[in-house]
Amino acid sequence: MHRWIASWVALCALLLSLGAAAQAPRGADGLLAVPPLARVYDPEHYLATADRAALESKLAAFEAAHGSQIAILLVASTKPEPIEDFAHRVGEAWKIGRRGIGDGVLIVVAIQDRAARIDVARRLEGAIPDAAAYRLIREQMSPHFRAKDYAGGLIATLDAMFALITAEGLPAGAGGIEPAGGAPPSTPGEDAIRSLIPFLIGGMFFGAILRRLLGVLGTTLAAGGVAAIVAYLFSSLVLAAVAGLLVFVLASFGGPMMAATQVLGGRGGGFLPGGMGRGGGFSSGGGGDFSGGGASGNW
Amino acid sequence: MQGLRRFAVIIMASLLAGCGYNGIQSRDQAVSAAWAEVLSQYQRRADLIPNIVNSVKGETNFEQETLTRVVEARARATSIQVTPELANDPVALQKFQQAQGQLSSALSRLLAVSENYPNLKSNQGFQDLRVELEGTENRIAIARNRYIKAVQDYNVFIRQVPQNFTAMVFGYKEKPQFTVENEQELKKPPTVDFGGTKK
Repeated sequence: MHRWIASWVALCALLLSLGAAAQAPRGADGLLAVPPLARVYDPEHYLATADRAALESKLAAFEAAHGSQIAILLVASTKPEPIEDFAHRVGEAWKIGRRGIGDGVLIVVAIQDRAARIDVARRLEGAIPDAAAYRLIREQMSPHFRAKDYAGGLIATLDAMFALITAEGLPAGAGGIEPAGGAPPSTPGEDAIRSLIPFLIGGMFFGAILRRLLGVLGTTLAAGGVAAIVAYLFSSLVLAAVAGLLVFVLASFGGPMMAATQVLGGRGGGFLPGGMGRGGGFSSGGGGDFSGGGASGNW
Repeated sequence: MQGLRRFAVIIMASLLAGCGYNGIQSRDQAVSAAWAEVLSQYQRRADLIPNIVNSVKGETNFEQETLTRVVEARARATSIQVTPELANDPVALQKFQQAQGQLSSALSRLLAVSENYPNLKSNQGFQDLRVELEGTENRIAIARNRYIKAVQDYNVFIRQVPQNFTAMVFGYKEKPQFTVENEQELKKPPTVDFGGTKK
């Protein structure tokens, strides 16, 4: 009986935290969904299979040699959304580019809109400034795209882009340091769990010591008192009284603490953000910061 | 029996005591960082404008009124003293947004007018500047959106229990948000068709 109550209390605490963690913002409706991560995303098959495979291997080879991650999306239309907004949403979701370096480029082509955009992550804005990106679209992409030679246009663009990126002389290797912006801010649920764990561990020892010193009832009273004092320091007298009372009441329940700790501790690692997606062997480095660099053009 | 007692004590103590203070700190810092980014992009645009104006000045018969309006709007926008505190003062923030919004409209007009001058359109330097300007407008829009999200995150967090008690004790107030009207105005970047169908 007491075992169940213990697990139930632990679960309630867990669910409360999870509830807070689950409040993630949602994008607007009616707009193109962010596609699954892929080097070349071409659902409408504007590219022949062979061309697409060639592009993918070209991109993979460049990433293997230099580390920078480039992805190409060919969609029919991004309307009603401007192509810039769509490219930005994809960039924010995929975050391609090595962790700690953030060298990613997104090429988005909206065939029916006859619009293209090269979205450059912040780190590469020196290698591919806006004017250079526009020139790539005007000089490499447009002539081929006007003749509906999408594969040819993309290959020409990539060749020119590779030259620009290699000229920049980015560090080699897999990256791996945290990006300068720091880790993504944790959600309230994660905050609660992270702050609980040291208390849990410390509390185990304190509880054992107190029990030996004061006996069972004494520990309950002391625990209630401590909770009341700490709560008072950070809030109000009324809340402190309520806190102390609650702790006293709860503490009269029995049950093994280890089971409860395991439930909480085990789950704590489970809902930290999953991070990058996976698509056919291509996984995002997670370092790309797409803040609006690059250029758009029509053909 | 003793196990759960210990467990419950710790849960109550940590949930009610100090939970959220670190969260407030990190969100506050996120807001400051986002604000710095917004200012940096506005500054980038302000720095581009003299070059654009110069490259247009050489063009004979160009509508002087359009040029003057841009120069004046830029002067007004850059004359506002920007301090980190600007983001916390709703009235000053409103003024700042208005000035930047007026600069945006003046720039859109300039670029729209420049469409009628084929010399300008074929001028490589001017084309580069137009591209840079549109890139900057895009960066501004994104920086603003990130700032709005950061402020929203902070405000929502501050209002939730148990953080609101911590916030009250330490004096953390809600921050003003970018207003929607100006959002509409700034959403109209210099719409440039980079000579696709025309060429």
